[in-house]
Amino acid sequence: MSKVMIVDDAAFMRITIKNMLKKSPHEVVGEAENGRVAVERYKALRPDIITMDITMPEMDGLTALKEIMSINPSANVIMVSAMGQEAMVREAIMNGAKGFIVKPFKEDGILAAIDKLA
Amino acid sequence: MNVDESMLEVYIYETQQLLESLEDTLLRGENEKRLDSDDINEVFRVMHTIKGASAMMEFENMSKLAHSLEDMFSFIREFGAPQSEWPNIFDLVFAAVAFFNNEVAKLQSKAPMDGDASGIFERIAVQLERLKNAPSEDVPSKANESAQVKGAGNIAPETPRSDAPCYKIKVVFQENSQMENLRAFGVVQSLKNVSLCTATVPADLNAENAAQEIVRNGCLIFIQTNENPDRIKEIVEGTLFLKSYSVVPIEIDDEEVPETMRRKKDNGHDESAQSKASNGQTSDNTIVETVSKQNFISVNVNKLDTLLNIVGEIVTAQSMVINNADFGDAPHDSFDSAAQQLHALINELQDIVMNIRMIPVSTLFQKMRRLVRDMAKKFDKDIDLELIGEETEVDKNVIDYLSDPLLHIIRNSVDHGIEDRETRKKAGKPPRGKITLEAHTTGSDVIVTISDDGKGLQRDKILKKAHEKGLISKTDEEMTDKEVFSLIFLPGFSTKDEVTEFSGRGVGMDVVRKNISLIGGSISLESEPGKGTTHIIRIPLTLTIIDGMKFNVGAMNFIVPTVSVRSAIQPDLNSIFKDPDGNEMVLLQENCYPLLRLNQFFNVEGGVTELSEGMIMLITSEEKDFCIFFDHLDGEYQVVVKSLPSYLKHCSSSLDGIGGCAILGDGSINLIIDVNSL
Repeated sequence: MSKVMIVDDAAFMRITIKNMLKKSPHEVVGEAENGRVAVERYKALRPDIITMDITMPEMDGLTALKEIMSINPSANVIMVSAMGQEAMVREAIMNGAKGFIVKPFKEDGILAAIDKLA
Repeated sequence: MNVDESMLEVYIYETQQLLESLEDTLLRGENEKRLDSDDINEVFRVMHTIKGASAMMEFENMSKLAHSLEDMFSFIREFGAPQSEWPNIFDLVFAAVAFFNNEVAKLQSKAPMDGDASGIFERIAVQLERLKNAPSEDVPSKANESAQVKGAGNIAPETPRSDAPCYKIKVVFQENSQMENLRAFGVVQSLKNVSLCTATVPADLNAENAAQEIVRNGCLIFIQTNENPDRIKEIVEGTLFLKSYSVVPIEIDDEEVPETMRRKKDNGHDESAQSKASNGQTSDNTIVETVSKQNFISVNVNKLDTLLNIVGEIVTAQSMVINNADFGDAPHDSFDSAAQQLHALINELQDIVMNIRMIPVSTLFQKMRRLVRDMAKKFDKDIDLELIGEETEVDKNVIDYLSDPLLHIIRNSVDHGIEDRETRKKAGKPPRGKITLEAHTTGSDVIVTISDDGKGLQRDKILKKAHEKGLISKTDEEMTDKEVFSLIFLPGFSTKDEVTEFSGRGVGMDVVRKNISLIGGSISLESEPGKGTTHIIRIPLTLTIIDGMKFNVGAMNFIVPTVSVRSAIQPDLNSIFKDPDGNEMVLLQENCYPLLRLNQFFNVEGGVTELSEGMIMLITSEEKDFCIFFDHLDGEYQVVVKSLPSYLKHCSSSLDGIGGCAILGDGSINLIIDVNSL
């Protein structure tokens, strides 16, 4: 069982991912609606796994990833991306993202990804 | 995907919010005739979010349209757009927003989302072409930035060490895992720390067809490393969406090993070092803001409605308990003081619930911006809309009721009120028309005024029309301006002959007045020829709990708002007489009032018909005072006003005189009388 934090500016996506995780042994310990909040919550909650949207207001997912990696270089961050964001995904990987999923994704996709890092 | 209701709800809510904020951005930008880079980012972000959410919900049209707009704005973000293209871009995005809004509305009403966006797609494609062919004004630094990122993605072959062993790793990703080239790149990155030298097949993981090639053949990664092969396996195995992999030792001179790796090259350093260096700073100074933001939550209005209903019923139940006949007349001091306390608490609760439901009128006002924009464009008029007092808060329900009347009045102002440029110039007015929408509170009321600087109402035209329709009996001279203007509120009155797209769809100002009076409000207007018209809407701040007198006619229960009741008496037969037209009149306190028998008005059978057996009540409405005759007075209650169910609203003719309904604690349904329409 892992502690998961969901970062996405769209409440819809957060709920979707949360619902998908309901049937899994993993526990959603926190959510954040932008990168800045994500970094703060990360410090407080220390989740095992983070799903990180890329395009967000205030602080985007890439910057948040970098900050989180500087706090904990072995943090498990899965980027939640979409087609067309190749350049950003690439940068995320170079900055330590453990992998990425591409929207729209299915339940088994995200579960497999989280299971793998758990 | 299984769509559960709550997710759909969030999807709808969030999409609407995004579209609303997008509209704001666009309208603001349109005034300046362009979007600045923050706005462009915002449009991009909104489209991106809608695309993602819609794709998850499998709303293909929505997500595709959002995607193509995202593409267009991604281009604009990087290369800018010439000034001359902005009007087209605005139109295009507005059209798309309208499409999104429509589809979401369909979704909300559970209708099939069958909108056809092909026209918009075509326009976007054409627009994007034009943008690409336009002479670029300036290329913002963004373009360089992303080029850098791309460059960084190439795997630079590093110096091979002849003594270290070499491995061939083959990775195959799961079907449909997408962006396979980047997944392969991820494997290379994770091996970076242990490898001395790396090369891949396909060699350029950034190439356009790299992903397809990897899907077909998998990706080969050659590394030279001193690391234990088990450790390498472990690292590779950690890759997400991996279907299969193999790690086999290979000679560095083997033909299979790409030449770049075999050849000695003095190259190779850690590109990510730079970006890692900039990670140090955190944003402590902005934490406070986050905390305050977290104090807000969004709540489904239905829940608030339920809460309000429950509070309303508590209020009713409380009065039933406190006034319970079982207590008799004996004094019961401790009960009374407990009851007092309960009463105070319930009042407080009621206030809070009311307060929760208060929202600023800004969203409603902003909607009008869009309307004025679209209509002004359509009629080729220049119109500014000024908003004052947007922060004024009113009950959510009031906003809902206010929306249609405002739309209607503003349509009228743009269509009939404001003149075209030429006429305005001739009249010595500035060519740009102006509509002012203002809200402010006075005590228990909100006053919303809508004024335009158009041609004003034309007394002659209104009188002529009213005569044609047989709506007046007085001579023209007898009528004051105010009386003449109020004629336009009569059912079936409309001075515009042709029907236009926006106004004059057969719904007139009478509907506006009816809507406003439904929530206990009133509307009046002032107008000066040549100078403009001002509509003044006065509505109560909250409307859902009122004090009312309950009475019955036959088997039907009615409630009349206490504020409208002046007195209720047992009629004195001697004070009732008939006027020359045969209408019944009541003489009360030395004044004569017309008498309305409610059993006749509402066609209720089985009620009291003898005046001596029933009661009369003196009612005061906006226009006149009159008496109503009914069977029996039941007492005063605090009731929660509920609007009539929609299936009743369709038969509007039979609902004259009824403004809503209320359910009392005993379960009885009571119709609330709208005194202004009796």
